[in-house]
Amino acid sequence: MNDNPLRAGMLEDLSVDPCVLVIFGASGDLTSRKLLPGIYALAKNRMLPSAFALVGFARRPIGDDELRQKMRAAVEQHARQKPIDTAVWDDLARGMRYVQGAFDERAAYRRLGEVLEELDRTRGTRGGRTFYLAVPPHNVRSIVENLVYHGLCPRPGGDGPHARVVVEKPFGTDLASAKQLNRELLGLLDERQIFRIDHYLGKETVQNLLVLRFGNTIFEPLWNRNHVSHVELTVAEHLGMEGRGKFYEETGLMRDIVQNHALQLLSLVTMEAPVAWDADSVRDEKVKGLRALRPIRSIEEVRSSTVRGQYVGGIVRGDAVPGYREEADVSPTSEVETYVALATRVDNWRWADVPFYLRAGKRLQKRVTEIALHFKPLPHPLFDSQGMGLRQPNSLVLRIQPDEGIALRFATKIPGQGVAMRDVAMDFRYGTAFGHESPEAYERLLIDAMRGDATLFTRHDEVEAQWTFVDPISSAWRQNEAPLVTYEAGGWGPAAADALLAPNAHRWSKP
Amino acid sequence: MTPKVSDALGHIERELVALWQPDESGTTKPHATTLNLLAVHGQREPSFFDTLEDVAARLGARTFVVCVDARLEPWALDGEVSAVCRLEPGSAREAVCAERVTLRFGTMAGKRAQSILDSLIESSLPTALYVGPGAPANVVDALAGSAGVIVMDSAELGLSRGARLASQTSAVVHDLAFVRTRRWREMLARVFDDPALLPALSQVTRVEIVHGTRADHAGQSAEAELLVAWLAARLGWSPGFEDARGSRVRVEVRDDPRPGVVPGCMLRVALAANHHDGELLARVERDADGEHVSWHVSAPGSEPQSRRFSIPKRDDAELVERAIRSFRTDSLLRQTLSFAEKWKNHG
Repeated sequence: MNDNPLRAGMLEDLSVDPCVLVIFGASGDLTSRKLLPGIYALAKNRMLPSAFALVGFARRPIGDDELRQKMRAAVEQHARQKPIDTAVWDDLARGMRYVQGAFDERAAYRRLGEVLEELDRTRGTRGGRTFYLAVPPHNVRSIVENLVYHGLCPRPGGDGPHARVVVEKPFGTDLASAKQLNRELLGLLDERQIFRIDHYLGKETVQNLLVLRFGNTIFEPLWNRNHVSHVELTVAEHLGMEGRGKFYEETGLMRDIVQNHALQLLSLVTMEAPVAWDADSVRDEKVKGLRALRPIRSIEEVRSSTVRGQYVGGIVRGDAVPGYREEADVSPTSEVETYVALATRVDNWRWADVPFYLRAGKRLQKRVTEIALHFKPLPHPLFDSQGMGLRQPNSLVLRIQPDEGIALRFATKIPGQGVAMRDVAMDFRYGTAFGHESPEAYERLLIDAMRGDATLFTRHDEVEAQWTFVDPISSAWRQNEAPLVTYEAGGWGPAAADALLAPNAHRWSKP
Repeated sequence: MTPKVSDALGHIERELVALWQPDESGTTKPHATTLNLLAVHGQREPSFFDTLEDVAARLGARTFVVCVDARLEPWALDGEVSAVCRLEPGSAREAVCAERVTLRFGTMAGKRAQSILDSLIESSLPTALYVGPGAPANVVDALAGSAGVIVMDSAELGLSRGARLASQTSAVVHDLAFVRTRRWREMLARVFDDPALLPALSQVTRVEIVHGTRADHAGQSAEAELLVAWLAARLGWSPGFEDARGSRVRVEVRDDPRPGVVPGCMLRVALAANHHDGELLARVERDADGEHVSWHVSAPGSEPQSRRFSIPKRDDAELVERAIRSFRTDSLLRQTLSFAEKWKNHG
C-alpha cells in the first residue's frame, strides 16, 4: 500500500490501514459498554479506515442481523454522541459479521477465516487484522493458539498486512502467572503484535501528564527531590461492588486497581524523559521507574508501609450503603481488601528520599483520581499566612477523573493593607479549555491498536515489574501477616492510613 | 469630530476588562480563552456567522469579527465587545464564556487593522485567521502575518488567491475546499491499494469530474479543480496534462445543473486507465440521497468491485475547528494549489 502515490501525504487520521476488528467476547459487557460505542465514535469522527469491518465472535447462537441489532442497541445506550447518525451506523453495520463458536473450537476458527477472506474481498480490508480479546484471562491462550494455528495471526514480516492482538487486564494474577502468560504469548506472537490494554493510559490527562512534563520547560526542573516534598496518588471510587462481588472476592483492590492503573500512573510521574516519542522509548523509561520502586518485602515492611482496608456500611452521597461483607456474592467473613494505602520511595537520583503515598479504595467519599506533587516548604516565612499553614504553599494536582485537568496551587497576597497571603489555585480544566469532550479512553486505544502504536499499551516487562512490587505485599496479606482494618463507607478510608504519613508529618489531602 | 482610533481602541480595551468584573451579586462569569480567532468577512453571509459562532464556542476563542464598512469614514474604527457563553449541557447555567470583539473598519484598514489587532489579541495564545466570504484582501494580507494558522475556503476566495495566500505565508494553511475533497481523494486512492491495479496508475487516459452548478460561478468548482490538481500533482503530470511518458490525459470538469445539489459540490469522479490489454474503469458517484457515494472498479483480470459509503454531511464548523486544532498544514495542499495555479496559467 505504501507504493500507492495517491496515499502519500494523506493526513494522519487516514493512516489506519484497512482492517477487520475481530472482537472475542462480542456478547459481553465490555463490548456493549465500551468497545462498540468507541468504534461508533471513531466511525462518526471519520477516524476509521474506509475499508473497515467488524466481526463478533462469541458462543451465543445468533446471526449477523441479531449482532447488528444488539450492537445498535448498545451504541444507542452508551454512545457519547447522540442521537445515532443513521448513515454512519448503516455503513458500520454493513461491515459487521458474527461467528458463533467456543473459544477452543477449531471449526469456529475455520469459519472465522472464511468470513475474514470474504470481508477482504467485499470490504477491501486486505488482510489487516486486529483481534480484541474481551474475554476472561483463562481464554487468552486458547484463542491465540487457535488464531496462530489457523494462520490468522502471522508474525510480522515486511510490508504485509498486520495482525495484532489486544489483551485485556488482568495480565496474570501474580508474578508467576504473569510470567507464564507472557511466555505463552511470546511463544506464539511477536511482542510488537501484543497490545496489553490498561484503559487508564487512554485518558487524556494521563497522556497530558507526559506532555506537561516533557513538552514544557517550566515543570521538569522542579520535578525532583530538590523541590518536591512528597507525592500523593489517589484512586478513589464512591461506588461499591455494583454486581462485581464475585470478581472482587477473587481479585481484591490490589490486583484490580493498584497493580495496573495506580502503578501505571506512578511510573508516568517518576519516569525519566524518553529519548523519543515511540512505544519502546517511553516504555523503557516507565519500566526503569517501576524497577526503582523500593520493594516492600518483609512482614515488618508490609506492616509499617501498607494498610489494607475493607468498608463497612455508611452513607455515600446521602444514601445509606451496605458494607462489603453485605454485598451480593461476598462472603460474610471475607478478608478481601477494598482499600489500599501504601508509602514507598523511588530509589534513584531523581527521587531519593521523596515519599510516595498511594491510596485507592471503593466506597470512598467521591470518585476521583489525582496525582498531587507537594513542593517543599518555604525555608523561612516572611509573610503573615493567616494561620493557613502556608509554610508549604505550592502543589501541582493532576486530575485524571472526573473533570480532567491540572491545578497549580500557590500563595497570593490578600488585597488590602499589609502583606497577608492566602493560597489560590490556577485551574485548568480540559472540558472548559477545549470546549468539547475528550474522546473516551477506549476510542484512543482502539485506534492506536489498529495503527500499531503501542506507546499507550503495557509491555511484558512492565507487567512483570508491577507484579514484582505488588506480589510480596499481597502474599503477606494472604497469610494475614498484616491486619485488615475497616473503614466507614463515604469517608476517606481507615485512620490507619493517616499513620502511614505521620512519621514525615504529612497528611492526606482531600481531593 | 471623528474620534481618534486609539480612543476607540481604549474603549474596547476597557470593555474587555469590564466584561469579567463581578456583577452586582458578586458573580463573575466563568471565563476561558485558549485561542485568538480573527474572522474576516466582507459580506453578511449568515452561514459564515453560524459557523463562526459554533467554532468560537467549541474552541473557547477570543473572537475578533473584522470587516470593512464603506459607510464609515475611511480611517474610522467602530468596535463592540460582548461575552459569548455556552450553557452547561442540560442546564441554564453558563458553563464558560469567551469574548467576542466586533471591529468595523473604514476602507483604509490594512496595516491599521494589524496594529489594532496586535494590541487586542492575547499574545500568549495562538492566533488563527479564518478568512470568510468576500474578505477584503488588504485586511487578510495584513492579518496573515499575525496568524499561526490560516483557514480559508478557495471555493469562496478563488483558487488563484488561495494559492497566493498559501505561498506568501509561513503559517499553517488549511483550505476548506481541499478538505472537502478528502473523501473523494481517499476513494480514488483506494482503487490503487490493490497491488494488481497499481501499475494502471501510470497509464491513466481519462478523468471526468462532475460537480453541482454554482449560480455565481457557473462551470466552476474549486473542489473539482483541486481534485484534478491533486491527482495531477501526485502523478507527476504536466500542467497541460501529459503524464510522465508524454501521453496526453483527457481531463474534463463539468457541472450538472440538477436542482437540490449543493452548489459546487462533487457529484461524480470517473477515471479510466490502460491496464493489461484492456481498460480499468473506476467511478465514484454521489447517490441521489446525497449522503452516500457508490464506488465501482472494474479491470481486466479482476472481479468487479462495488461498495457504498456514507459521506458526511457538510459541516463547516467541524472542518474549521479541526483545521485550527491540527496546527499543521496538509502537506498536499501547497503542492495542489501550486499545480492548480500553473494549470490555470497554462490556459
